[in-house]
Amino acid sequence: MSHVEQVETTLVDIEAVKAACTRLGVEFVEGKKNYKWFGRHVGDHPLPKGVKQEDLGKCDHVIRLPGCDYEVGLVKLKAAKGYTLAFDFWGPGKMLQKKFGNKMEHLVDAYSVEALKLQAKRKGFMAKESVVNGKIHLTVTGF
Amino acid sequence: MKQVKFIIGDGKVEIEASGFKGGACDAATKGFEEILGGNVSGKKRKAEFHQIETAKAVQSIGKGGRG
Repeated sequence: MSHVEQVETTLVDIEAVKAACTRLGVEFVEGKKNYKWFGRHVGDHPLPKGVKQEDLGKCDHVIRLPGCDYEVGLVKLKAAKGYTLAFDFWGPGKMLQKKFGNKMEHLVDAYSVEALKLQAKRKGFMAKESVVNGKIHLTVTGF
Repeated sequence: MKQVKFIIGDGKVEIEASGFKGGACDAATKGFEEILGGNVSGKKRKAEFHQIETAKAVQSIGKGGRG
């Protein structure tokens, strides 16, 4: 054994995001600059840290769940590489949470799996996927 | 056998590198860490990470003793 570590995933590779969307059966709309939400902030919930009211609804790409009126926006991070996910969790947003997780964790996990498989492929390694106790295990060999 | 195992769940990824000696494990996982955003925490070294360094120290002592 050599080392063990933990990574809190940030979405950085758009090709991997596209693959994650295919994996989940949802649509990636590249370059769409607005995600569908209620349309105005009613003040019943604080804004996320670093987000201004005029930022709401704006994004760099969109993830669309068929049958849902709201969408998930990918918003480029200002101080780091990659994207954060923005969505309205009220009303139709409940459908987004059911599909992607309350904090989008299922979407992030799908990204992680596809990004790791993509990186393994790019480096010429072999990747084997399995599910153990509800978690996805990916074993990469060929170093 | 050199391998890297990823356990994915709840928005986090646990990475376990095995079969590597010395710092080779860091090089092996670097590209994977980057594509996940690079926010690494709790890195723990295992026994074989130190194997190369220990071997070099023994060789140095041996050469000094002969001289």
